[in-house]
Amino acid sequence: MNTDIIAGFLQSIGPPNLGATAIGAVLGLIFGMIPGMTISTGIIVLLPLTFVLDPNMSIALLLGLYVSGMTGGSFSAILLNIPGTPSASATALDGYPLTLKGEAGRALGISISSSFVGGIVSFVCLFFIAPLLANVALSFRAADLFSLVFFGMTVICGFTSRSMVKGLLSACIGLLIVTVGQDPVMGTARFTFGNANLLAGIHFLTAMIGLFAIPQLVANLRNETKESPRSAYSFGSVMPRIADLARIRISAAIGSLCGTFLGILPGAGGPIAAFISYDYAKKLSPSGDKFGQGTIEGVSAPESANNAVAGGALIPMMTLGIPGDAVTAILIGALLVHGLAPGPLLFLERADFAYAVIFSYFWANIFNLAIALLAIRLLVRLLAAPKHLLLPSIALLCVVGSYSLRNSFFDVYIMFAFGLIGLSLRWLDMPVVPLLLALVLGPQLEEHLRVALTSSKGDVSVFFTSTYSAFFLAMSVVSVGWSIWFERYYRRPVQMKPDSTDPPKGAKGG
Amino acid sequence: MARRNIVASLVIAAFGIWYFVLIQELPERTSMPNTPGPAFFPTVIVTVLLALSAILAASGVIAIRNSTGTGESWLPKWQATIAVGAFLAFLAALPFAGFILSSVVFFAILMRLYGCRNWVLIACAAIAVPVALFTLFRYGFQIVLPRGLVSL
Repeated sequence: MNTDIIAGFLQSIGPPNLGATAIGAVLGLIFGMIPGMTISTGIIVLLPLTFVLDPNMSIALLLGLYVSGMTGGSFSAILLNIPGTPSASATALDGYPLTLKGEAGRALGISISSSFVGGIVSFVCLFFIAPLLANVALSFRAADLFSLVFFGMTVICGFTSRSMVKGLLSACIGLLIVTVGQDPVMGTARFTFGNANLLAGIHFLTAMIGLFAIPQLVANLRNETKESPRSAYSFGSVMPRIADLARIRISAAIGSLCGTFLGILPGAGGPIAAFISYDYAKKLSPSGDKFGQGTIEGVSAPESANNAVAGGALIPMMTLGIPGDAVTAILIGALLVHGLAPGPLLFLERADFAYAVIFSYFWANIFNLAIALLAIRLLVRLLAAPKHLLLPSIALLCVVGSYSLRNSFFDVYIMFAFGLIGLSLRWLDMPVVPLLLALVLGPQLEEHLRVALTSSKGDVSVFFTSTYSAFFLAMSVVSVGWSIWFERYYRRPVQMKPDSTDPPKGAKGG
Repeated sequence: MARRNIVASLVIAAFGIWYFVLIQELPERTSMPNTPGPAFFPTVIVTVLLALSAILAASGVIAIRNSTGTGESWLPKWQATIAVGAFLAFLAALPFAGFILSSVVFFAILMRLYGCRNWVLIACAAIAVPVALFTLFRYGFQIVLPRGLVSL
């Protein structure tokens, strides 16, 4: 067996790593479960920790939160018909009717076990596909890399907004913002207005905190704190029965495969995967007519899908350096803070670390299953957590997180400025995710474009003569065309909230 | 929403034009002829941005002609104004008053805005949470938050 795989496995099972994964899993379940909180908010709370922990622990912590956040969202969807995260919207369609029938425990057990299945299937794909894809990506030249990043951005713009134009505009604003600072090829200072703080550019983690947290804090101002009904805390056994597990095998398989595949596509995210899997499971199930009335297959398909998305999204993140959503963008940021750049070279130069990340994802799924099954009765009581304590604490953590990045007030002000930008974008119904991902991918996009043009002496045909580049550009055209066509002729079944990490809040049931 | 699209397109177009003016001030530095300099990428993006804002404006005008109403406002206006104002004041006070002092006031205002009416709880939490955070970061993570008037 490859020594890097063994080294990665050993790194992942170190007690600090496992401890960090478990803490991340608990926090993920809590943040995923509480309506109004998102996985991104949880990440923001944990962000300062990642600066002081070693890279393995940082990633283990964030992966624990990412995986469990997806599962936690289903708890409130099933018990209260309020999806804790957008990814759990489809779960409410059958989960809540099961609660009304007095089968909340059964629905929760199916949700947790399906999440585990989705997570493990995507782990297997991650384990086998990621090294192969990284190997292929090593042969990419600048023109190919530019086209690949460009393709990723067009997909993100299409998936994450109801209007392609608005998605592209959001991305363009992000790309202009990344031009602030030294240019990546020649080091020329651009748009710094003589301010030394701007020479290093705007750190996207600071921008991310403002873009996501401030609009969410403001949006929560109008949500009245409601007491959850006491019935929400009383339900039967959550341990899934063998007969139920046998019954959901097809729907869980559909969800796991759909979720992994859609996770690989940048921007598709959990909600889209959940609804598509739900739809497929409904069509392929012999009891498809019972979907929506409280069937366990209707819980299993979306739950396995949204957890499989997490593993799928890690594949392009780790092998190509392209984040699939805001959470993987933050994972990239956490790695960059420690001087580790995700991409094909990660598997060449730090393969042990790359495998440690993959195994940490596996442990995150194990902890998610164990903690969710064992502690669910305790955790659901947090559904009644007072928001008037939680939200001001998050506001302070936003300030602390942005300050502690470089011990600079400037970053705090930048965070606040991005908060105002986030509010404006939300008011204008423009998506935030393309802007954020443009902040992550922008420097690469510019660097690869300019290096490709410099090496070809300004000849743009270099982008069309390379097979990979031509393929990615063709896919970009297809992606944009498909989005425009879809926008024109259909209303989106699942629409993305402009502030959301992973699309819609309550496409149904929310 | 159609009116907002027009507002958005105008604001974005103004931003693009301002950026375009700034791009003209960038030095033309290229290592070889026919190769892109520092102004190349921003110029491409600004051009695309202006084109897209024109499309958005056009779609907004068309939508207004066919419009039957306006979109729902999600923003709780007065609370949002107070919250953003409090945040701004908090950030202004932070370097001088330090993390703990400024956070106590800010935290109390936010708790009230989020609907807490128990003044004892507000007072206790507004002191306890900032002090706990400061201590955690100072002694747990070795990150010194701004001290200001309070030296710990």
